[in-house]
Amino acid sequence: MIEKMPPQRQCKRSLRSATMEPSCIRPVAVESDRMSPPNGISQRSSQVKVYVHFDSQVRRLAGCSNVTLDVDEDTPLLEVIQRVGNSGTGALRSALMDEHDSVRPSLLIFLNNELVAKEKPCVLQDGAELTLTTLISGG
Amino acid sequence: MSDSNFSNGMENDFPKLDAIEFATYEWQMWADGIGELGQRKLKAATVLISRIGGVGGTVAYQLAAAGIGKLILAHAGEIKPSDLNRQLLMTHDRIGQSRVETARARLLALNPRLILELHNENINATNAQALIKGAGVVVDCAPLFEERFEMNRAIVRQCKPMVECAMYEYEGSLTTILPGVSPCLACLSPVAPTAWRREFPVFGAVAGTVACLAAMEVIKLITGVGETLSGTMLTMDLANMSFTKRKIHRNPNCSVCKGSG
Repeated sequence: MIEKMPPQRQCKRSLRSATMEPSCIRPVAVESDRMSPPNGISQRSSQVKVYVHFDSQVRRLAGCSNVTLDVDEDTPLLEVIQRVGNSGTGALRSALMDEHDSVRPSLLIFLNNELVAKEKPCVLQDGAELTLTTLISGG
Repeated sequence: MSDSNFSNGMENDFPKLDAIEFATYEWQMWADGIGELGQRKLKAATVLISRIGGVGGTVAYQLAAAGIGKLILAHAGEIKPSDLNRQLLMTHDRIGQSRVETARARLLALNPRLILELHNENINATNAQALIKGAGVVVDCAPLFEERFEMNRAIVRQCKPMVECAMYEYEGSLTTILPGVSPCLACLSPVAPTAWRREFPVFGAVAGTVACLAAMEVIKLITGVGETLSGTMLTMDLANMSFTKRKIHRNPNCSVCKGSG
């Protein structure tokens, strides 16, 4: 709804992959592998760019504040989150997903600064800004 | 419940100000929408603050300065040296002594008319309902999610507004929960984040920033001025001075507030 994060603490590199700081995240391809056409003809849906921001403890676990992803345009939101988790450290993955690869109920997912209900299917548009965070409790 | 409903009331419902109060609060009564009636609403109000550490202590101090009539403070234990980088109601000469009693001295030095109800205990399942019953507004500044969830259940049951504020390292977050209207804490997260630890990195200035914003939410709830953060989460990162307002929504299947409102 309001401002975007300023550029500090960003770690952007453009790959068709999760691009994070190399110390914590290993790049992984995120193009969809679900798209094998039945007739065997090579066919690929167009790609969209998704900006993923990490806040609070998720940022600490990720080791950086944001990453840029190029994903197939019909990639579901939850699949994107799973891929971010699988591309990071075990601690980041554990903060995002449980042992069954389901998104944790404590994870807050904001799409373009609006909270997203985890159970609702959601497809990302080009330029989407995704924020992954959790509640904090310091008083 | 809505913001305006909370601040409604007949003029005669609110206590009159004496000459000292007029003199003390004159400059804030000039603020748009406050005036004498707004100040009288503040004087009539009772606010419960859970914990008076880095965030809650400054919320209490700001509300005492603003002329709130009564504060209910709940915080167990004695002052430790590690409290003193952020807990501005506490002092070095009182290390080892009760936090709430130390707060009493500091708050009354600022506002001798303030009525205080002190509880040398933290919010828990046993006391939450009773403590919240005595308050018109609740401010949640607890460091443990168990306490926050307990308070959330109690305010939803009693339909009391709660300012939910927290910090971590250089970051802060703030929202105002109006039960039945805006998302409760469990709507956002029904369980504590797995990575949360009791001890966390904290600067007093970050805690104090969040606290001042929370105090303004309380003042707005009581006086009806402006717009609260109901349905909005304000997050801030003081490492780069970015502030973001994000829309939040009720969870229709929330185990706590489903069916309320």
